[in-house]
Amino acid sequence: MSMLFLSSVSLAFSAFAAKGIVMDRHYADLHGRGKEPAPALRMRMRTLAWLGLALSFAACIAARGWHVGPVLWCGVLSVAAWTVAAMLQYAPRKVAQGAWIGIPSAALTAALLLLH
Amino acid sequence: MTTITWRYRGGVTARAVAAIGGGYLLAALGGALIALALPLARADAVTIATLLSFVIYPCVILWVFATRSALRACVGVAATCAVLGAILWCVGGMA
Amino acid sequence: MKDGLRQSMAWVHTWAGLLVCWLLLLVFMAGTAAYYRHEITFWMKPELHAAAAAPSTLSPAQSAQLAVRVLQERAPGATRWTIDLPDERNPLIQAAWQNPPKEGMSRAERRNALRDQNVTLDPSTGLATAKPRDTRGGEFLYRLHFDLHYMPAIWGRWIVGIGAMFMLVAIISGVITHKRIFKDFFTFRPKKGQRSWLDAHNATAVLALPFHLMITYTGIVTLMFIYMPAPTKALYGDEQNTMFSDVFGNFERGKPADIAAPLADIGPMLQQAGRAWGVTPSRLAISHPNDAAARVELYRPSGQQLSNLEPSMTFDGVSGALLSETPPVSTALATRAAIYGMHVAHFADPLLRALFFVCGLAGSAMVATGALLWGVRERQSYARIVASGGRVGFGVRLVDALNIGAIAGLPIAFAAYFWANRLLPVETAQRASAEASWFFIAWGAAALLAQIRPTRAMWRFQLTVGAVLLAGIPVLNVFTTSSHLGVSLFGGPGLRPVAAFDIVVLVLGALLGWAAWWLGHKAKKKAAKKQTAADAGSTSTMEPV
Repeated sequence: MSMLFLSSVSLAFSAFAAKGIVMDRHYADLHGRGKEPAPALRMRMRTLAWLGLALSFAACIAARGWHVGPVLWCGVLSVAAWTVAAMLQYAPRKVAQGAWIGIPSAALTAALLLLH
Repeated sequence: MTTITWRYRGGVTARAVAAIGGGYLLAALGGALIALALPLARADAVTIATLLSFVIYPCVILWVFATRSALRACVGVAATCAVLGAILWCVGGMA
Repeated sequence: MKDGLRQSMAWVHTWAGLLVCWLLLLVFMAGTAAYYRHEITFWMKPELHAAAAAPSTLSPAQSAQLAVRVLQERAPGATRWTIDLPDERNPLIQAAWQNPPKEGMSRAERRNALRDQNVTLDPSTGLATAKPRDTRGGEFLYRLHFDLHYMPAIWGRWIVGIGAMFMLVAIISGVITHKRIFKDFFTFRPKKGQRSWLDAHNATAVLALPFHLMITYTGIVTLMFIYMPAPTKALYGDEQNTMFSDVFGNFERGKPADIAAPLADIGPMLQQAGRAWGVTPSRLAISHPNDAAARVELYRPSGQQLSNLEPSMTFDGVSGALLSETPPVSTALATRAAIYGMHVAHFADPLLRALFFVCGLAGSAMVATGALLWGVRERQSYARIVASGGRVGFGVRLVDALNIGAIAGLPIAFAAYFWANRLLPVETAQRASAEASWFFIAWGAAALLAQIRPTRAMWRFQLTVGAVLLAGIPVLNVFTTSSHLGVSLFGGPGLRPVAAFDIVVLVLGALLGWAAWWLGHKAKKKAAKKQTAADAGSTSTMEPV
């Protein structure tokens, strides 16, 4: 149960991080004023973000079922979003680095879901 | 900042009355009609209708303040209540 | 009213929010605390801590049988026994009884009598625990958030219900008016005055929007038949009681047969229910024990369902045969129960419960930052007047004072309630209401002081008092109980709620202390800035709060 929850949180974090770093304001914070992300990068990050959110949702359903799972997922999203928002302000580079956690999380989640 | 004229105050008051009081009446009439219209057991119909009336209520409140003029708001709410009330009276549901 | 939907919604959002924000702060804070009302009640009864520390040696069936034995000794002629079996949130057995009402007893007298008609049993020893001090515990906070206090419950429910409608309108209008809701999703810019307050308000509001929307709507739904009787009137006319039993189920207990008959062993009944449900019943209710018409109801603990309904199995109290089970409810009724269930979160395991708690705190922060934001904005429009020695308008002063009284004053009130629990002598008459009155004495003092002097210094003073009182609770525990953090952290799972309580108030106290420090720090920086500006000969800049 806890493993699924942790992987759900890290996936949501990674997804929000991916979304955050390609937003105009935050991209400029990271790379310099006036810089904008390339459309291809934006597309890629957004796709990964949606994938991450979907997997995060699946993990919550696996953890608590179809009734309580979505409720848990809303809590997961809030916690992940607050973390990304705080980090984008106080430790923006770590957000880009931390986003990479999505890949091992996705692998772990997929494994857990198959085993479930 | 808009000048606080009496006309402005009057408009706000009218909208507040239409929204809070009129909105409640509208939601109540609407809820009663939904309850009567739903082809379900009484307990189910009453439950769904009451749940929905609390969706209707905030929508009416927001419409009253979003619409172009206070007059429109009051007329709109009053007219809707009148229509719903008439239907309810015809159906004979009002106690 | 104004050009554009966004502008009108901004106006609605401001006024819907401002008119009820201080009431909502109370509701949010008390409601958030209520998610842990069992744990709070347990913390407030230190006499029970020793019993909870020892691990249970009894199975659920044995616990139930023990409770029945004790009830037979203490209340063989009661009309109803209720037994709560231990679970992760309550490590002890609770047994209570209802006696047939005596002639001429008022409702208040009956309720007071009920408070004494219970006993807590220790599953590790099989004996009754020490009698805990008279306290309402977490139930006071739970009731406070919808019944309010010092008024008939129905008034409190209407006031809170109206507040909830205002809140619902505020949430929806807030979403409509928020132009850059996606672009500003992660935006938080500190140290930028008004913009920072706006960012904080957005962050606490938008990033937990599902929770806030849910909690407000579901809150209204819990009492919706009171607030909106029209549909019921349309279908049931004046037979409101029929509607209630149709929707909520019939709670008819039946009449006693007035023929004595021994009560059957409940062990096999528990087993049967456990097999059918896959989980042990959490609660038993025995109507007319030792009578031929005795009934035993076993309740299933809420778990995987959102619904707050507790399905039950009813057994014949003499023969032990299964008489009936709660029938499955219709989709409509199940929906209502699920909506209700989402508000009270009975289904929440420790992790999910913690998330609800955090979101509740965020809701309190959302209301607080909104009120503060309004004050800051309005203050801006008085900037020139204030700079030339004038005073802010009445509205700003009032809001400032109310803000201090609610945002800084409420934590003081909560802390006072817990301090009263530890410090009031156990033999105090009406002890439970005395504890509750300390909540209001402290809050009243804070609010009054705030009205007299709504200054930044008052903010710092009250935040500091709140910090000291809250963070001081674990310290107070050392001197008033034997289950302080030193013991509860290492005392096994039974004492974990006590340790958690101490840690949470410590953290909240630290947060308030940090806020008080930050306010002072900012004031010093502002003074220093003014000093250097004055030295440099330039006009002082009006720095936003």
